[in-house]
Amino acid sequence: MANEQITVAVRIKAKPETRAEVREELHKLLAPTRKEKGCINYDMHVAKDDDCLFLFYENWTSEGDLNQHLAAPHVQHWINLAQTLLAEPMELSLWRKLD
Amino acid sequence: MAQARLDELEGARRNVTLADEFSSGYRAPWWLPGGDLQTLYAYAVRFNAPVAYRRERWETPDGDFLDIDEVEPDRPSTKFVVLFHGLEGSSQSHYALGLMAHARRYGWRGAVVHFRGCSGEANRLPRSYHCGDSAEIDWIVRRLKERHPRSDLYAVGVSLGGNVLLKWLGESGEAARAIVKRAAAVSAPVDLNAAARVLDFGYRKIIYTRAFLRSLRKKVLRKISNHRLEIQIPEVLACATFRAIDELYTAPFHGFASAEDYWSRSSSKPLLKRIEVPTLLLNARNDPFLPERALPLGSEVSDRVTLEYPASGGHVGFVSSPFPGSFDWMPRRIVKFFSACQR
Repeated sequence: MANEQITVAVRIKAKPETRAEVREELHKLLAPTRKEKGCINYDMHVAKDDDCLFLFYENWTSEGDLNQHLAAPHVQHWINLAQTLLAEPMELSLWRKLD
Repeated sequence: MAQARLDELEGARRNVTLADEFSSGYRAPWWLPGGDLQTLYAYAVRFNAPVAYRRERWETPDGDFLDIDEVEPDRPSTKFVVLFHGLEGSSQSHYALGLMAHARRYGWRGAVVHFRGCSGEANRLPRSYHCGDSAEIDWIVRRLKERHPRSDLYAVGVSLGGNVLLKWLGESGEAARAIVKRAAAVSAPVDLNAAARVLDFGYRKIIYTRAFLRSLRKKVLRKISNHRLEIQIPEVLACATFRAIDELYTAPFHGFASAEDYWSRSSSKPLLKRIEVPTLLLNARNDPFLPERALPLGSEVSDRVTLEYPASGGHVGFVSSPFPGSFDWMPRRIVKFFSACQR
């Protein structure tokens, strides 16, 4: 199971006054993460009707690679910032691809 | 220099003692290294589904009010757990949602008491809440006991709430046993001078204190406009440390001569030897809010107090693997402590 491909969805809600900063900080995660081992895709989205609401859709070749990603310095930098920039806690969920 | 070396050796000896004697079953996930990340991750990620609370407003004898959020208020349970939250916390704080969800699963009733001004609505008086307000805890737990005379009442305090609860337990001594059956304090800053010293300097001031101060300054500004307090607005806006805001507002409006006086008289550490209620004191040794050297040793607490100092966990950051993590360990540990003591 640990070597199975894993999908992550992350819902991130910025405060109206921090949305530009959140967008910028999240954007900084893309390039270094896409170079990480096991990263299949790491895509950032913004809601069509709410520019404070972001969604990350990520696929990793294994849970081990995902865990390594969490320990990466750029992710830890983001977690440091998240507490003050977000309107509510991030919602993370794990998915298994069926087809 | 020699004294500094001796202090260092004493610190190392003390840390070995803490690690050996007060170990814990808790281990942080490997992907969440360090006390800061453990703390921040717990605040930044949602772990629990929303909890269905029913809010009740209690009018206080001094003309103010407290908002209490109850879970399972109509359940015929004989176990009742009451939670006192941390600085600027509420019933929506991650630890409150975790503990109340867990209590509910166990068939217990539960309540989160909002300190004054923390329920989403400003309180009526110029005063607010503070780290040493054990008189407030006394009034609340006595009232809860009166309302639920047949229930076993268990009290939990987290961070600031933990310090106030411990202070009340110490001051009340034997009398507390008639009200509260067991208690637990999590990440309590039992030595407020030590906590303020680490939070008011360096990176911790930037990561943690800045966020707390943003919220506290807003509250003081509202107090100035609602109650015409004699505090200058620029002075509030300039507050960037706990010392500054405690000197300007908390101390003078809650009966203390200065910030130092407030911290000294509000710290629960000197009272821990007087606790008569079986109490769990759970503090991670890498808590960024309280240096390890400030944690009480076995000789500094009564034999009713169980000290548990896991090496990791940060400040109320007891997240467990696997990713994205859960916040079940702390509620489980507390309920286990409460249940084990009954035998």
